[in-house]
Amino acid sequence: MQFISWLGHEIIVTVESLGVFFIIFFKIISGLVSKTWSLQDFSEQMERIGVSSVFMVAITSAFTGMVIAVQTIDQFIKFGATGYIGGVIGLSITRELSPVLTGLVVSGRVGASMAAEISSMKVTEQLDALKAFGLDDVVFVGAPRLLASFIMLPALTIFSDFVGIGGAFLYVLSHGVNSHIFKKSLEVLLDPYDIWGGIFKAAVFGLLIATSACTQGFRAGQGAKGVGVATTRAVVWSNMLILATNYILSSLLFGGITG
Amino acid sequence: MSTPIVMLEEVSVFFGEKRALKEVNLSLSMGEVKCILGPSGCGKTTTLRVVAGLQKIQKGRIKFFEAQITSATDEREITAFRKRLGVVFQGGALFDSLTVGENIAFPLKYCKGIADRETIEEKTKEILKHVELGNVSNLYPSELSGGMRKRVAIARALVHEPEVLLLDEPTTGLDPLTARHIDALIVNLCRKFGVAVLVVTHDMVSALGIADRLVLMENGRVVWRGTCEEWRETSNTAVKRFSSGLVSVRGGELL
Repeated sequence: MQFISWLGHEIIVTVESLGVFFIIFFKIISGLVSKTWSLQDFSEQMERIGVSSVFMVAITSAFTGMVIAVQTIDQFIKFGATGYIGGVIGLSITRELSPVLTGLVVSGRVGASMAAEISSMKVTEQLDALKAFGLDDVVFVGAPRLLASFIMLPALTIFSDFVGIGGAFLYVLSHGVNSHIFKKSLEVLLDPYDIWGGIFKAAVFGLLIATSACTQGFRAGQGAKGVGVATTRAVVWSNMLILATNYILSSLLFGGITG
Repeated sequence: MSTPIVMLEEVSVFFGEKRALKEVNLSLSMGEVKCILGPSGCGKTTTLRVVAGLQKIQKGRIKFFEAQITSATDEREITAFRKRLGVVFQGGALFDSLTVGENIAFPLKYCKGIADRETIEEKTKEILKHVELGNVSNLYPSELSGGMRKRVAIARALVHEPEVLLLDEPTTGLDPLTARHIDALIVNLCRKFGVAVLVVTHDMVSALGIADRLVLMENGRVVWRGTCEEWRETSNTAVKRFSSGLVSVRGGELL
């Protein structure tokens, strides 16, 4: 009985949170054209999401690229399929690993801090101060973050594509595979559509990360505990949404090709 | 006193089952300084938030200049009136990520729509002089003392020349000397700018020092109103109880 009660409560909370998520998302989108948000804040967010994440994205992508090479190279050599290594690695990086890993890195690094910042603004009445000046706090705070996230996630993903494939390329080279074969395989198997598909997914993940952070930040409870809970929820929500949305987008974008 | 510019008529506010404000009537006239006194949790801040348009009401109506706000009034309509107010929040609510100068420039940009940098700098310098702060424009709020933060918050609330200034516990957390400086500042600025001032406080010394009229609240209701003279002379039990601080002093028991 207690389990059913808990389950019911969790379902209600989740559905309610999803409702608030969409309300905040559409409110920010409709407020983007109103220009009642700060360009200075927007450029700061671009720097915070983009430039500040470059190092972590580089590390994640380089090692991921190398690990894929480690896991695949022996099998390909065994089956005499070295001509496919570059293409297969390129496909998995551009279609899936770059956008998803970049999304998860930014979610953990920037999404958490966005939620913490907004919730502490709420606790210290800074959001009320914005309202007192006749501004819509959701739009003023949310618009620069959503837009910056929407732009910077694809940019980071392109960077991640290069670093990831570069990492794999170096590993493969060190194991005696001809660089020309690797490059040729990339050219043959990797279509611009795969790269654009990954970039498109990253843009969607950018929207999810910023909206999750804003939703949890604006819904934060009082005090330090409220800030902590909002931060954790923002990361959990955006990570779950990234993984679930990735499945849907991958099925829609690439399902027809592979399937 | 001139005709009221803000009037609360039979205003009630509910937080879930709990009624935070019960049929509150309150008025504020141009050039008047009114203090709402009362113990913690009596509804003072809620009243201030209602006047600021930050708290929706469930019953009654608010007359703000020529407009009326009720429970059915749309948020966008209220937003337009907020620009005619200046609010000083309890903790100052200065924007952490902005410098003092940028904090003060904020309402000039977004309430007044001033884009000219020179005008903004000029007005910022002028208002900082009014609140007796020197060259702090480039400092961040975290680099200021409590008293300085209150002054910056007052400067920010006044820089766009509002008609009504609302202050939530302006002297809380300050030493007595700084608190009296803030009191003097409020009165002087009120006279200089000719604004109506509504102060929420439980600092009686402060209230009696700055107010033209006092309002005492208990359990979400207004239980007494009058001038400072009347406060000192009244035999009203609620006033006596609050001013003598007799609640919870006898052997830990509430009286």
